[in-house]
Amino acid sequence: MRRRLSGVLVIAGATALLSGAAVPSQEAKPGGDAVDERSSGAQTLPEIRQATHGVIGGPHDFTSATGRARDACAACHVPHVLGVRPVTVAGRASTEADAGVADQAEAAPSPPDAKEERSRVAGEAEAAARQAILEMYRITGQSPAHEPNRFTPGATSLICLGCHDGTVASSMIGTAHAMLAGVREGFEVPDGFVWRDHPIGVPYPQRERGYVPRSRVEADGRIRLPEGRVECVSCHDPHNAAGEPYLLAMSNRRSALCLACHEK
Amino acid sequence: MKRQNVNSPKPREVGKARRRNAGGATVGRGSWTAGCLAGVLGSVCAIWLAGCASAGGSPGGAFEPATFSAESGELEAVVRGDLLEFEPGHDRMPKQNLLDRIIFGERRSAKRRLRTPQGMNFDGVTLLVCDQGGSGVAAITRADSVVRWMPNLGKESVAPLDVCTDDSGRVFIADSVAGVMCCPALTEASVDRWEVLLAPDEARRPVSVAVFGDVLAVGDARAGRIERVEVATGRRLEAIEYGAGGMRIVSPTGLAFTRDGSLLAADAVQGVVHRFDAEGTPLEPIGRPGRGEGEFVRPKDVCVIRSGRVVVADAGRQSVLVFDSEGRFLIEVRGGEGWSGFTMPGGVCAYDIAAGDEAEASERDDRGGDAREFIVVADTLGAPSLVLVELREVKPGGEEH
Repeated sequence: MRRRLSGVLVIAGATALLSGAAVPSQEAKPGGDAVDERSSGAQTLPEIRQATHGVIGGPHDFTSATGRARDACAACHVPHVLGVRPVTVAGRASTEADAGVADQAEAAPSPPDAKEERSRVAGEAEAAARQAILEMYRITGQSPAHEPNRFTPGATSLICLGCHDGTVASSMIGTAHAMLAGVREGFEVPDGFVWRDHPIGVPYPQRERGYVPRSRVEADGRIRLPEGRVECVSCHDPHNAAGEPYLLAMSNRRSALCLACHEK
Repeated sequence: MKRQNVNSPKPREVGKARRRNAGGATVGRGSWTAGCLAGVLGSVCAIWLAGCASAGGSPGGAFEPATFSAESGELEAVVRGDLLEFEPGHDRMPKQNLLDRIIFGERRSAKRRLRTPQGMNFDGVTLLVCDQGGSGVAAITRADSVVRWMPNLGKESVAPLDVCTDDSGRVFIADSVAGVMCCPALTEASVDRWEVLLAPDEARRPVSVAVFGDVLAVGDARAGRIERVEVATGRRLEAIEYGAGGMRIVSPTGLAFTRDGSLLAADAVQGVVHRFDAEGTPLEPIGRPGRGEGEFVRPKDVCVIRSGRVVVADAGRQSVLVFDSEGRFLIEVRGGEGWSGFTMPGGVCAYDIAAGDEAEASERDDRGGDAREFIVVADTLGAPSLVLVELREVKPGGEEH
């Protein structure tokens, strides 16, 4: 729900931009260039950031680079998936196509197992809706590279690395950040190895001593562990909601971000 | 600095090649041995074999080709597998650091794999692969498929992203940190003579290079433009900043020239392949953003093959798309039934085996001309890292040329 709300806020911000709201006047180059903290309109850039969930005017704002307002979101998201309807309490269908299926199922004469059939259709519709909502927040179709017992980047990290490979944006592959070469598919790590850099694609060791339980880590929604794994979005928020340096998901003052997972 | 020689070629040893299991993961010799033992025992082996069959693997380690057909039925793309599958002599790598041992393991210690391959170039003899994770450029000769590392780049090249060669053998490298570098030739005598052609302050983040005649095109992702330089004189030509319809160039991550000197530029942010004529005048782009047929999410690299077809590697779609010379979509190569697909294709180049050999070109023409073409796809984060794909024309009756 929080994510959906975030998405709505971002879209609202982009809509405001389209309708002529104040926009940053400087060239907000994607990829980490310095951002001028002034704007041409009445609002200051921090205010715009606040209103648009930190995307507008941030390093992930491609509007000034492409000249298209929709690229506040569309550079990473696929807008045509927005035709998805949210799931109702009764588990009704979420998409137009699914709605048709569900309606047919409800309109049909009730055989003895009609209730079971309705339940199945509703379940499928709900699953489809969840998948569709997930698709809203990533580049659709991105398939994860998870392999059992291997540390590989998840689907969300692949989106980041699709740009942060040194081409579109600064590299997280060849540098000492994240995992130098560890993001390669099939990377194996021996027991007891001490990481020099923070890994991604690794299962969160919630049952090990020294780690905060996953439920507590994710409790306030700032730190995310997609599919129970540590990914780029675990420490960084591409929407820059917190307005922290390096797009950190939360302030790391007094190592707060580190200590959100690591018990020391 | 001396060339960092790699071992002499040796016959391939059975079972050393890494294989894909059911999920597409690579498994080593230990797993193979264990699998065979389990097979003797019975039921586990059956499961393993079923897994291999479903993923395109086989007990012998060979890759089962995955075939894709164009809607017109006139073209097929066949994923042949790992280009380095037959790399011989990989068990005497002279130098291996701790990270290599951790990554590749003791038993495979000598088989130096590419870490994060991106831009490539093939001149008919040598395939050059930019490997940012290795901070160098790998040179893979077709004759023995041994991976050698271009010397004297370790200190100068930090993040090589793309490479190209011109007709005279000069090598150009786009390094996003160090700038654009040039070497007179890839020979023992001249390989140490690297010079910086464009310093970082001249090309702020060079991410792609292509050369046609004496004109070198450099994609600058930070400035959002394509620089053009006359190599002989160093004179800067007018930079290209806009595509057709006034579309700004944002991130020209892949460049390629066609035979007539037209320039193609894959723009990873705009989601199109810009086209320009020899003078730099914008032409109608190839593709558009989206996930439909012939559309792009994150087009990272582009190449033109012998037939004039245009091949684009799209990291967002996790696929490779093929267009005809006019920009009409033909076929998409992506994972699916029988093949797990690319993880993040970041580079593509034509692998024309006759490009550097007239005799081979003649033989090729005798045996069917342009019916079969090959490309190599660099899967930056996937395995295998270099995937060989064959494109072949099909006669109307379904028979191959």
